Amino acid sequence: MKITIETPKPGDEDEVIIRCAAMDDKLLRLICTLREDERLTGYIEDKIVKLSLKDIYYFEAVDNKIFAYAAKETYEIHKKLYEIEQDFEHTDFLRISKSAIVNTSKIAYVKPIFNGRFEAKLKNGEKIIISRQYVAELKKKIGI
Amino acid sequence: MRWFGNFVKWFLYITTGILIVCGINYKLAGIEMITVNIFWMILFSGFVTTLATVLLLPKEKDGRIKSYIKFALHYIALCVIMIPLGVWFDWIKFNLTGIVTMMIDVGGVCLSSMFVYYIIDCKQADEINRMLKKKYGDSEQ
Repeated sequence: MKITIETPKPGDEDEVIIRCAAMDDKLLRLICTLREDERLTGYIEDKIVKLSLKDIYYFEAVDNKIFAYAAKETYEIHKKLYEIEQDFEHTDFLRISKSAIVNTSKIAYVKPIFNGRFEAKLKNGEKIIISRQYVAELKKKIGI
Repeated sequence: MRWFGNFVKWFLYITTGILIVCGINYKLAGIEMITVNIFWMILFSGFVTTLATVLLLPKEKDGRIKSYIKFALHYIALCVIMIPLGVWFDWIKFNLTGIVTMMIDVGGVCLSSMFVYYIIDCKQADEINRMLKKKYGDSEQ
């Protein structure tokens, strides 16, 4: 693989362009690593906070509002769930139900529960439901 | 397509359950000879009860109480289907003993099918957990 590093013009934003015939695991991991430091604007009470993606456990839609759940705090996000899904498609984030997107790196374990669904226990102790229809996507994401 | 996949999966579990229950009942009744028709009877019963299962089993969006109600309705529907079929196939007599036997058999098939479903889900969860551990390790980030 050829690697080219160019210096941007003064005032231009740093940019990484990946030119490839097809995405493979190595590239996806690279994108994940690059996007780990990406920041998202969160709102908590009257404060605006820059959130690091790697600190977010999951996003959830509640009453037409989107919330990002970190280890302890919850932040409101001014984006739609599908926008978050698209923006972070090549990261560890994955849609697991109509109303939630989880950071797969924060899942401690999953187990089957009542009614054909799965439950993910997160590393902060929280539990979140995985709809059956998204289990195949989860398996694909983690390489099964 | 997902509906069809779900139907085939339940059909396999339920038909296997009916096959096992039939085997046990014939053994207990001391019947040594059966005809080929028994296979068509089992397949037909499996098909009809799978239809009822796919239509009546709780959906993911259903809450806990609604799910329990649907489970109960599902069981009643299966009994309502299987009692006349049992009489028609000469598996039971239409009397109290026959009805109770069929209700127990339906319960047995339901439980065994759901148990198999659960075991397969457990296996899937184990596989996911193994890959999660391999990919991210145990450490808290």
